[in-house]
Amino acid sequence: MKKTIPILVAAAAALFILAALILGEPLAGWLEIVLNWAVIVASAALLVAIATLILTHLRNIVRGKRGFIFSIILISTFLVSFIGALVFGVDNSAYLRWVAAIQLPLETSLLGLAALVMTAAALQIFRSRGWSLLTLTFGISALVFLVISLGLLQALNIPVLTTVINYLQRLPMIGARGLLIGIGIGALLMGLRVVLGLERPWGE
Amino acid sequence: MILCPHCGKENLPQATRCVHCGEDLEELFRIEGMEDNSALQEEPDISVADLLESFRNDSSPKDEETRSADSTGQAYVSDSGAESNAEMPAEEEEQAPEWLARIRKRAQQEEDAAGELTRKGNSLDAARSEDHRGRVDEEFANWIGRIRENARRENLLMPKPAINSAASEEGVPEWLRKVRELQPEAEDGEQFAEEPAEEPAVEEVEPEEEQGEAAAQDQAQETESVVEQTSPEEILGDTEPAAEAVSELEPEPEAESAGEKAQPADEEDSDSGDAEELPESAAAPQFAPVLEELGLAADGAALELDEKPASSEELSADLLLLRRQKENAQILMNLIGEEGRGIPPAKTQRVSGRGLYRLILGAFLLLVLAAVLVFVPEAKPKQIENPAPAVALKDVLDRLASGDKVLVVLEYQAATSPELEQIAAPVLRELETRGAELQFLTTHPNGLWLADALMRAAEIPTRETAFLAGGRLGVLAAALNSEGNSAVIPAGIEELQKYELILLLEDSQTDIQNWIEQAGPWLSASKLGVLASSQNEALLLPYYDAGQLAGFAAGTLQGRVLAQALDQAPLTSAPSRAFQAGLLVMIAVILLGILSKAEADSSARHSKEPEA
Repeated sequence: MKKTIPILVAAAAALFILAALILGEPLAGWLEIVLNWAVIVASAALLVAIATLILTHLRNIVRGKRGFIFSIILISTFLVSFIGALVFGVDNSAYLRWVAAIQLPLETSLLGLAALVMTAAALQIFRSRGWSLLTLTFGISALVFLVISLGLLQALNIPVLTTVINYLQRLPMIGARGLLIGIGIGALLMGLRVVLGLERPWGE
Repeated sequence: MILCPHCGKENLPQATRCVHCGEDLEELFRIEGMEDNSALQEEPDISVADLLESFRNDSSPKDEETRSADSTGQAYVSDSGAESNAEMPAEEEEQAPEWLARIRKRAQQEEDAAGELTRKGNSLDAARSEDHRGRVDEEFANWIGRIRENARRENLLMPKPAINSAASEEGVPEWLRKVRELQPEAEDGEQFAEEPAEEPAVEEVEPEEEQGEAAAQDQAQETESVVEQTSPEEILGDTEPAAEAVSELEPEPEAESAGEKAQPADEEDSDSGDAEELPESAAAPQFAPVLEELGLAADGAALELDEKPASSEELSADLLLLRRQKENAQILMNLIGEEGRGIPPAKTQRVSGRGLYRLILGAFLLLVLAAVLVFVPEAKPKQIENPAPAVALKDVLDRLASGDKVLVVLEYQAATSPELEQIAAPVLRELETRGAELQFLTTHPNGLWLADALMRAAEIPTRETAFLAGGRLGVLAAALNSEGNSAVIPAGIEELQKYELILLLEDSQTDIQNWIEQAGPWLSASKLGVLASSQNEALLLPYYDAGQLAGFAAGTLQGRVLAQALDQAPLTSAPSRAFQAGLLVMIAVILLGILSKAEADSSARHSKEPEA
């Protein structure tokens, strides 16, 4: 029973959503109710997840586990944000600027770091892999598309060059479409497995 | 010794062919330890045809002899039978009894008088004979193989021969001889120079071989014992000029025993002047046909190369071989040891002063880059062809009238906010100019403060931003909300169908797919427009081609083009220049990687050239 009920609930919900999407209006009202339930359950699950996170890090601090300093930072920032939102309100401009002043540099530097890592990898790839079809293709394609992304060639306003650039810019689309088709088929199969009870994303 | 049944002359026991008349002696060939078996197998080896033939010639006196002698072997019986057939006088046929004549007549009339039985029996006999011969051959090949293997092992284990005396005679010091041994290629020229001196030595050896041939019969027994420990090539008498010459130049004391002489090492070859070796070399021509018939003659050349007498050149080859094997083993050990480890970084020798030079060069490049970013005006496209999706979006925006409701949905992160603000700000300014009623919605908590920054960047009055909880489910619920009374939909947001345009500001493929695939079926396709980061263009294009989007603009370049089309000034803030600077740095780094690899290859090639 413990395993069967979640499977039945998941399969029933998935089948109902599919039916509502196919049939449309006749089931739209029922679909809205089901979605409201789902949103409430998801919000409650989010609260449980936050509580678990806080408890875990509090336990780390109490036991003095290795890296408990990071647990202290996490809990303190969480409390400051939570209390600040409770006191000033979520829409308060001062509060929003304060959050933005922390989050914007953090996220931007993370993205910049990713770009740096990729650049370092591009520098090392020729040394570590040597001259091969793979490295040469990578190097040439990276250079071509980086130059195109600069926009300087487009600024020259040479008709032939613009045509070539437009043609080249279509090439990544082909690969991306292939990827998207693969992702779509994978998602379809995953959904089917969930509906049939073969996959249990909620765990055993 | 054995006697040839054809000419009656003596032959060696190992001979398979008579050296005098050339007839086969296979039936007389004996191998030690095999005589008993062969004798046992030969006795029943009489074919049915021979028996019938003997019956047929029953009355002739020769047949009686044949019957009495049939136990001596099949070949003899068949030969005598053949003779009796050929020499049967016609008179004897006439004198034969009537019943025998009838049988003979019928046998002549019926071609297959002997019947199928005879034929099968003959084939069976032939198979048996082949089988027996094959076993003998196999046994002999194994025997020869064992001898060769032993000789090879002894050759390897044999200590290096003392050639100090020869070396001293030639006046070549020890160290020089070792160097020559390790570099045989370098000695080729010297060998060519020495060859004329070696030829007379060979001529001196040949008479000894002839002399040995004369004494071969006397030494037959000794030869047999030697054969057991030596390879056939040695039995044949290895008369390689170089080896003989060395043996001539380096006279060694007589070997103490016959066993030592039989060893295929250089000691044996150096004893070419000894009397005991002469029978071996003299017997060689007699053994040649034997080995040739056994299929070993073809291997002779190769074996000679493999089992040369251990002259100084041969020893050096052995040394080189061992050294190469040792090096290969060491390389293999190193490879096994390094398995699973990471690739070590390329080691480059640092040249003094080169680090400072690189530092100055790098600083200069950075300075130039910074100067370009600060002082050089941004390159703007004068006239770029507007992409079709952006043109379509512009058409949708142009159709908007004053008072039309537009829902702006913010679903991007802080890291991509500069790019999206650069794209969206001119559009929002245009909508504000047209008098459209703008409402802001976000599904990400970050969107609450990002919307504020966006409105400031677009220079439009600040509005309240609604937060749609529930993520994907919330979006689907909002799309399904046809009466505007859903608890999920935040206050101030109407039914989505009532908006003339839903403008999505996206940096995530998942969110784009969610809106188009989940909410799209419940909305009109003409209502959805997207402003996205550049990496999402590939995702958006298929949706646009499929008619699921009204239009889109992805990336700063398309955003700038769209702004120009809307007669709005695009944002020329630092992010655009920083983006270009980042691209330039990446281009420079990739070029640097290519150049450094090319330089490393070039220096490696130059360092190898002097060695070669």
